Amino acid sequence: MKKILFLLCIGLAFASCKKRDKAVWDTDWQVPLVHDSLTMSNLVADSLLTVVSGNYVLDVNSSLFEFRLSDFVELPDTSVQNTFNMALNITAAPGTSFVNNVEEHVINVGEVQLKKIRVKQGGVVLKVFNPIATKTFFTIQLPGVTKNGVVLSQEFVAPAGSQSNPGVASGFVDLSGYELDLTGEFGTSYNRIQSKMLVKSDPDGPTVTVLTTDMIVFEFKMNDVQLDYARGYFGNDLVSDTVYSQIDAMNNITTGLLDVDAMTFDLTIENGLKVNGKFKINSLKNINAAGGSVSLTHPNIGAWNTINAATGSNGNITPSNTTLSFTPGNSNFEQYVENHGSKNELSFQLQMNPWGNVSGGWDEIYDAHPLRVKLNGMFPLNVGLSDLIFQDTFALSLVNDPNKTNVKSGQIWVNAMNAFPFEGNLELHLLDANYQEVAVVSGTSAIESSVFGSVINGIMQKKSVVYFPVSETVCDDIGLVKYCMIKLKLNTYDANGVNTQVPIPANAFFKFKLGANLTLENHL
Amino acid sequence: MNKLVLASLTFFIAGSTLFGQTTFPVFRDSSLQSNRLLLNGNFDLTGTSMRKEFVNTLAFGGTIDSGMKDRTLKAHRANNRIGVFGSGEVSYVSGAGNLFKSGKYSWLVKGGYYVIGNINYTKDAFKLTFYGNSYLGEDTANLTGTRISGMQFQKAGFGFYHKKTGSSLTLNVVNVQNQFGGYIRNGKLSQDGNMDSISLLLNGDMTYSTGKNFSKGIGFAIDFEYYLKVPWLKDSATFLFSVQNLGAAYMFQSQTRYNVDSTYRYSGFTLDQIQNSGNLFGDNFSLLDSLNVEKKEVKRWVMVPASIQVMKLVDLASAKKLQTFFGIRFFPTIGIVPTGFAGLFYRFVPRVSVSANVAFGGSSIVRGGLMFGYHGDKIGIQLGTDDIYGLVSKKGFGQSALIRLSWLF
Repeated sequence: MKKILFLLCIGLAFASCKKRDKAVWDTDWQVPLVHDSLTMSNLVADSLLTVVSGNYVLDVNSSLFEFRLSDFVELPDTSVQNTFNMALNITAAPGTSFVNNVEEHVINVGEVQLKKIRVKQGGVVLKVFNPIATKTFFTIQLPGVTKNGVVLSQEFVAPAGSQSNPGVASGFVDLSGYELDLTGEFGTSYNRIQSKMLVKSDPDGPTVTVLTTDMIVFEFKMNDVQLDYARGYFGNDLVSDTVYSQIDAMNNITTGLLDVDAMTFDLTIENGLKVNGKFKINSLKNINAAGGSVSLTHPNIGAWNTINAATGSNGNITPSNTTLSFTPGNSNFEQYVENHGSKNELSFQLQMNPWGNVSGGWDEIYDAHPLRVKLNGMFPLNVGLSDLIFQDTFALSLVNDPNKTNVKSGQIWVNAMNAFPFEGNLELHLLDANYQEVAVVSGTSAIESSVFGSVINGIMQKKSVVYFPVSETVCDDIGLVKYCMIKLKLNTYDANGVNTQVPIPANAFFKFKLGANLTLENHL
Repeated sequence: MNKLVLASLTFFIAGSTLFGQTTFPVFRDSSLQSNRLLLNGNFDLTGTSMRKEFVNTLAFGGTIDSGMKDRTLKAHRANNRIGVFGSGEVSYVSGAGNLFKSGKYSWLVKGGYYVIGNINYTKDAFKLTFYGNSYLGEDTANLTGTRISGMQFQKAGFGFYHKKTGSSLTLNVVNVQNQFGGYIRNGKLSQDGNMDSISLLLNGDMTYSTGKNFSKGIGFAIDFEYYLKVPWLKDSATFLFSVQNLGAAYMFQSQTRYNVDSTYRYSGFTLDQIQNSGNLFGDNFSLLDSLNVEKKEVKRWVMVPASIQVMKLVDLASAKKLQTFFGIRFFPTIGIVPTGFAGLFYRFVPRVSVSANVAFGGSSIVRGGLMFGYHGDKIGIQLGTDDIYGLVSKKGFGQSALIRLSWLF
């Protein structure tokens, strides 16, 4: 009996362990998440903003696109060989000069007829091949290739060689700043570069025999040469092109109305080329996210516009200007903007020298003076928004394991001070992997427009505190969420609550703090 | 933020394995030269401020609702303690044997499993852990002085036993299964009312074992028991001076150590930061880096949690029905206040007794204990608790259970 009692007690003393359950409790946490202050500078470059009568105006004076020298002339990578064979077998005493010839080489630049060019960047690799059985001195000259009036000349000493295994010497010449006269030996041609080769056997070397089969070779390779000036005739090719400009932010506007003021602006063709031409805008249209498109109308769209050559010389160029004025009376630019198109499509044609080589090959293009198409205008930011919905979707993957410490519920809050005359309603749509809605988190109220506020520090501003409750159900389903779609509905009201166009005051800002109040379910 | 919360929770909760000590009477009998098998099982969970319902739920699982939290919070002071002591020990004393020719000495062997831990914590540490920071408002939470330490270990030893007095010296090999320790020398968490920012001042360190290996450290420890009979009033009494687990262990498996001495102010991110970082909380994000926390792996020597106790024993050979016992015990390497205890032993019949005691200090403030004993010729049994209030009321601040078995043969 005593033994049984003893064993029983042992059993009680070292009772078997039971796997413990988890202790669970809730804690409430407050955390700031994001804080910032947004101004117009966050949306538009400062240089485009100006203030007129206390309100922001977009002051646009920018180049839409331009044609430079490289768009008309591009020197191809060129490899040229100048070879020389003796007419007779000779015995050359030390110091004998036996080659002295000038060659012309054509640069292939298509229809363009270049008479003179100046190199901005790039150079040539020169190489000589010596088949003679003694050290040989090469002098390579490129007549017509000058810098400050001095002809390019390069000397090489090539070691002795044979026809099958010639002695080789090479070097690189930087052509930056060199002017190339491409009119050839007689000054009447174009696209021609000259070379001259002088060869002399070693004055201190042996007497050697030079055979008719010995081929003396000089080679130059011109690579990646860029020009800053060209003269000649640049042809009269008709260039047709379509350029696209994508404004992604506009793609996020799904529905609603955008209302802007009628606007006036100029489209100017500034021609810095000493070449005549003509230019035509075939069409300019934009397409919005819903597929709606608006084509810009203007009497000059679809018509050729003559472009006069620039004037001046030696780099002192005065461009010619051809201006197309767009006004509410002659164009529909207001409707073009109000279509909030994200895809802008410009189709145009450009032809230089439409009347042929009327300058006699005296067209000139300086790289520093391109042909530009410029936009000049003042656009008042007097904007009306009516239930305009700005929508964006981004990937969002959150883990909230209910078997571990997890977010049970909570709310996100926004504490905002708004000096913009816009009212915004924000919704977060939580989507699963198939973009199906898991939950919608909506604000308890709108972020109110500054027109309902009061003047503080000289500017109307309105404070709003908006809560976005996140229920336990949403927290439970948060693991399904793979994407988040933000929907921001914007309106512009006047002080009476009527939707209208409102100007954006100078120094307008949107200052906000975003934080979260979270209830955590703790597991231990 | 989740990481911060979890780190705080882990830190605090790791300290819920706590410290305690028993104040049962130790008996002196006439069986010193008999062979004996002794078994001890002890679990003691106690604190100054956490109520039993709360501690039980933490320890054994369940829901801690707001009512339970509020009741527990009311009992908290600025600084609080909680501890755990758990052990299971078997020893065999060869009282009838001889180790040397003199016949004065014999031997004993013992082995056991121990969990000892303690945490000192501030009221704000409790509130942050169990309420979050919402309650704080514009106030500052004080975490300074929060300290945690503990060890889970096993030991096996061989001892020399003095047959006449029962004194013994045992040399033990110690296997450390887990060890942890941490101290916040200076810690403050503050926030402003508008929730513009949260500021954290933190100077402290935390070191702990990781992994599931059974053995992470190896060491030694000495157990020493010395019995001294002294004149006591008109009679005599036996006092026991006992040192347990005095030793050290080398943690050969690296421990993770965090050191922090920084002030961090968090006010949320700006849009630029979000845009430029791509993914703020992605692979490159490190909360510890943000907080300027140094992390390293360390191998080091640690002290085994030793206890020292001096107490007057109850003499079972005495004819007195009523006897007193008292003593003092402390754990010098854990940094907890000493426990003083005193009690009465009453023997109803020769084989059955009851003891009642009261203890001051330790991981609690005041506790009362109750024990029943059976004293057979061959078998002795003690069953009891160091915390009778915790046994009967959920308002108690802990719970305790102890069993001692002895078998003479």
